[in-house]
Amino acid sequence: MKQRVPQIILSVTAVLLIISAFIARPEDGNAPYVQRMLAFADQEFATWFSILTVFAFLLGGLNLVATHLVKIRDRGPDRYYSLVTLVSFVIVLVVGMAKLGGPPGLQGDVTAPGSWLSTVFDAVLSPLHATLYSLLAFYIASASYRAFRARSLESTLLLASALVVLLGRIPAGRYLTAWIPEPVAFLRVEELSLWILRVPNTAGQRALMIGIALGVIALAVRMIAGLEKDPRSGGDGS
Amino acid sequence: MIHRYDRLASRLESLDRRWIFLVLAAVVVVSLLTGVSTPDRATSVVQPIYDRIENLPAGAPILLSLDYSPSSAPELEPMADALTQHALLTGHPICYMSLYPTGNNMISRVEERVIAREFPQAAPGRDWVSLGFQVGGEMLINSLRDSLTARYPTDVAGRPLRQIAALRGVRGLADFGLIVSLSAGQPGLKEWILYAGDVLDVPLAGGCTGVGAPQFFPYYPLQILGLMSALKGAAEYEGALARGHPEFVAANQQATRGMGPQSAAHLVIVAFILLGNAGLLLRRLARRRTP
Amino acid sequence: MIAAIHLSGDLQVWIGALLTLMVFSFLWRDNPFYKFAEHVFVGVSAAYWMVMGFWTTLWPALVLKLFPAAGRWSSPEAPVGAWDPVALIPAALGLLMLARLWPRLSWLGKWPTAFALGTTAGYSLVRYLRSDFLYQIQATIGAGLAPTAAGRWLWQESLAQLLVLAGTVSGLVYFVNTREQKGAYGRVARWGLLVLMITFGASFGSAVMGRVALLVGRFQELLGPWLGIL
Repeated sequence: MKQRVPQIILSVTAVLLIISAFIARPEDGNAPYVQRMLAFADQEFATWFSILTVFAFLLGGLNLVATHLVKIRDRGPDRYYSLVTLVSFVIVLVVGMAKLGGPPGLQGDVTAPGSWLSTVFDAVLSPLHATLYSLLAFYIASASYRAFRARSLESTLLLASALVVLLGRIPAGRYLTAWIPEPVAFLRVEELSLWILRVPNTAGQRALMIGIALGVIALAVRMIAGLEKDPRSGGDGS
Repeated sequence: MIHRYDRLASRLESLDRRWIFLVLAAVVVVSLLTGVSTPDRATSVVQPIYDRIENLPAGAPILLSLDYSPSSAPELEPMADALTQHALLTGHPICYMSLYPTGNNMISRVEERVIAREFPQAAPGRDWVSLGFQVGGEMLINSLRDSLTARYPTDVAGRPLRQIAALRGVRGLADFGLIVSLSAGQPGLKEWILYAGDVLDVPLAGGCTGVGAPQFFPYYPLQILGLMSALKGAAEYEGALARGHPEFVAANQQATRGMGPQSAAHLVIVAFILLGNAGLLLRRLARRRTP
Repeated sequence: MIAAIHLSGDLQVWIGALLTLMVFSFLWRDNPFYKFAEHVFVGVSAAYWMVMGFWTTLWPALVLKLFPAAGRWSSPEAPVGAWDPVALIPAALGLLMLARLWPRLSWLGKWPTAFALGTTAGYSLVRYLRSDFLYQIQATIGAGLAPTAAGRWLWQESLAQLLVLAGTVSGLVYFVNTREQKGAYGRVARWGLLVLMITFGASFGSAVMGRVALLVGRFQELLGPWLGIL
């Protein structure tokens, strides 16, 4: 029961959606019942999935609170940072759920101009988000210096391709090879970099894409057929 | 005996990475302060997007999906700005939406930075509308296929969609003249291709970050009509816009200004790569010369 | 060139700038300022996602369908319709998902998970088959290996098409693990590996471009709105 019901739900849902992809949406209410049912599944299951995603956000938030409360209770070394996380979480949750600072009451967009949530976004979330990701520029420069070596034919090709793309995508690169005459203009670094992206890169990416697509299809078929076992479930179905 | 080349190679290899960080930061700051920028020319991958908007039927609405967060804004916001300018200049209403939770704020920024400043005569509801973010990613795109009101009964301001002039004649995604997704990752352009572009008969174009760009080239030109990739793609579009509509000078535009420091940083990184390989070369020379 | 510094008087800009500098301090070494900023980011972003998910999706797609009268709180002038009993299904699935919080009832959480997996499998199977498999094959060979324009043979386009075809096939050969890669087969697989190396090099170059743009953006924010130099 504990394993069979979820498998039935998974298989029925997936099969309905696969069939609906091949059936035209009904033009009016006089279409056959099966056609209307498949259209309903195609339309509504996507919305239900979105609703479940929000419940997953809620689960994640509750998990975050529980984890940090345990750290504070156990007086771990980072308990003050856990307090910072919890306080930030609660403040933004209250500000956002009550739509403070925006139109009166609960009306309007939660991120309406002037709302406190918008202020938190502009002052805190946006700079932090952007800066954390911008650190990668420094680490990519450091990694390039330390690890990018032309030791073999493969690594030399990788290096050469990267250098051409790096130089070809900037104005300075254009000036470097602007002297190359028109009949062999395809040797200019900006033309070479575009050629690399449109020819060998496309070939390699296409091979990867086709391989991944076959993997996705195989996994979907295995899941629908019940051949994929959940590694977390024990023999008793718990 | 340690060859002097080996000693030199060791010194290169043991360079503290914080010197690399410092050089990179200094180069970017200096190039920002000197403010050098050069307008760019649209390549064959970017030009079709510009041409499509120029040749859309009069009043055909454009759907612009801002599928990115602040971490990708430096690359994708210039694209959003340029597309907004182009659409409003050519009289095509824009409908904004997003697959990312930060999308509402990203849309507000375009409104404040471009529409309010450069097009004060543009009216919300008539010339542009914001549907905002909804959870779901590809599921949201699928839901909107036949009817926008399935998930967006109103816009972010609470106006029912049927009352919005910018969406007159639009029932589902196929009724837009063009769909453009500015995509930082997943969900994004790939989901628009799989769930909208390849399913419906609607032109689809994309903008993406440098990180994601190589994976979208296989879709061009059969499944997407054009692709702006990274800051360069945005600068190319600004260049095309400046050429076609001279009232917008490309050197004032965000992406074109950013290409100067981008250039400098790339040259520094290339120099570091060559320096690192110089160390490898020195080791090999030392091995050959050591008896 | 360099102008005088005009510090911003906007508190919002100052908070953003200070948080930016706290994160950049990690480049020197890990320190309490960076940890503080990191933990603020975790708390704020988790709550932001929850709030956005609730007001943009859960409220209109579930709450208002079950309790239409609640719409008066968010849109006082909107008409109140009848409740939709079908909305009970996703509501039930969502509540079952929360059952994971109690170990004895956590098995109930598998039902909504199964629905989510079935939905994903059902939607993606057909779409991946069409867009990432059939259309990619069509793009590789269907466009024709001898494109022409105004009666002229475009030899550069033909060569490019041929190279893409050869590269794609050899890349796929490289990925096949069920056959030993030797002889002619092995040479094709090696050619595929070399094509993939060029692909990864292009990916790296593009990734550098992407990351550097983020860095330029941050410095523009510091030098512009905060210090007033730009």
